[in-house]
Amino acid sequence: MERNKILKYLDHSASPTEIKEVETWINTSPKNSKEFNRLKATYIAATFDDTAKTTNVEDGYLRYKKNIGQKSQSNKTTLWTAPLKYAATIIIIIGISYLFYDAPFYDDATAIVPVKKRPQNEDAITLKLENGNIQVIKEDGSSQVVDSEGNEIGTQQGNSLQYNNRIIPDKLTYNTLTVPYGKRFDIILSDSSHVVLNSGTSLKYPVKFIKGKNREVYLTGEAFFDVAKNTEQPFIVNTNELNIRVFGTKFNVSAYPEDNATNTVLVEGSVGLYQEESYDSAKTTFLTPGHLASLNKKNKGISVESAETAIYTAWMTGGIIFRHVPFKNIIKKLERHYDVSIINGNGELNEELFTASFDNQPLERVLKTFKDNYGIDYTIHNDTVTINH
Amino acid sequence: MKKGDKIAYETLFRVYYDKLLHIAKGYLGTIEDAEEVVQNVFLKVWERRENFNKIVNLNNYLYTMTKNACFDRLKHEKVKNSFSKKYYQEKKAIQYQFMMDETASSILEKELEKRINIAIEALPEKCKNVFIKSRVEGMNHSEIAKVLDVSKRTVDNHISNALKHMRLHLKEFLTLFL
Repeated sequence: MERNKILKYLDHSASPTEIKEVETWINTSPKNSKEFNRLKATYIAATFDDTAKTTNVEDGYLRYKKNIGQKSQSNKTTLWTAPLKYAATIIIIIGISYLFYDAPFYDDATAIVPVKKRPQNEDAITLKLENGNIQVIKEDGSSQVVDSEGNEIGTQQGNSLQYNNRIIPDKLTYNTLTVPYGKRFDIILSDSSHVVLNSGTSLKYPVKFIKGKNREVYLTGEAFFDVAKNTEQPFIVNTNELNIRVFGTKFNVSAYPEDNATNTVLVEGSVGLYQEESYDSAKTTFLTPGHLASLNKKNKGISVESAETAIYTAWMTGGIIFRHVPFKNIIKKLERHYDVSIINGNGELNEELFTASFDNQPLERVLKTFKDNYGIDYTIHNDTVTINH
Repeated sequence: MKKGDKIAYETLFRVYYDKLLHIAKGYLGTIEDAEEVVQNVFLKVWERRENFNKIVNLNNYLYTMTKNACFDRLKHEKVKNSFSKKYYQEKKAIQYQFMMDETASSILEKELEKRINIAIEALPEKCKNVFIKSRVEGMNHSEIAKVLDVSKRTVDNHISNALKHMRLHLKEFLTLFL
């Protein structure tokens, strides 16, 4: 759905046909209605002044006084009691705190920062444009992604970025989205494929796919892909060691450079995995849903086993699940998930296997669970956790 | 009725009224419905004034009250035209799910807080000083006069100026755009 049409719907300038169109679109899927809600909220937030200038506060206040007067006919004892002061008190307190940490919400939510001046965007979600400029994405704001010619190519709202399908490119131009430790991000590519990026992940993708060519993206880290079906244009996820080729499916890929294995878990549809530069069906491993393919980076072997897909996709809702996972891998996962560094002072634990699951819990809770159940002692100092011997 | 308390309530109303109105209009669609809802919200605030000191987050409290009131209003609204009942119900469903959306709510609540802060911030420095001393630190006018080394009359003036400014400021807004 075009953003313009939704805007027209919101400011009541849409024609009856357009209204119907937008409403049908909203009701088509929960994803659409969520998107609409965000746009509507942003629209309302941006138009406070419209109501301010058409509102007669004096009239409103007179009406209010009159209402109170009528109400107070019955209980005339104490009209304005001491607690009323808190109204002003709280307002003033908010006013003071405003001085210290308010940042403008509306003006251009992504500041364009030249790469050289600020190379360390380590704590922020960033978007690297074709020309090398890096935009910092503010998770509590919204912004437009604009290409070098000034065309609007996408819209960012909070933790998600959606590319539109409007421009018709003659060559591929790439954007790269990088998510730091401790955060996650959603992208909807120009072909409507939905990608959820986990912490410590970077994805390079064309701003718009070219018709008739493969849809290729490049992944470092972990992501869940829900690829829009298009049998004429295979969708290929390139990782350092492994390429994953699909037409339209749901799957999770974990390809962190520091991990020993690249894992692909298929939730729906089918995928083909190959290690060569170009696709050759004879040298491809095919996966069926509910299976995990694990590429061992050392011996380049791919092993396939059945797997509970929920374990591998729990991160999308902030959860972490371990099933017989070595302690050293758990540490790495926790570091990424919570953006902390963990020093393991007890080397004997490294290869020990653990099973645990957490739904969106704070790190302290996770560590305490390990302590209570396995006697693993720890100390936390700022962003560093030390596992005691 | 003590003068200071009245000022507190009037301030609350003047700072919040048009902003809550705007949010209610966003939820309900028409300014008439919004006015009724917001007037009722302020009336409720006043009726429950004994509990006012228990409110931890005033902004959240007023926002939530407004949203709930809009929700109730939508629920009780009769479908006027049975001929196009299905159409109205669809529209209503869209309004409902917007109200329930947490992302949308948090965007609105945050923006409301920001707008309120700006309105407060717009008070002249001296007035604000006196206002804070009086409201936050609970000093009476003579005490403030002592601390700030000004006459009690000056303090009285500042307090009333704070209010005047707020009226003026909003009026400025009106005339600027009309």
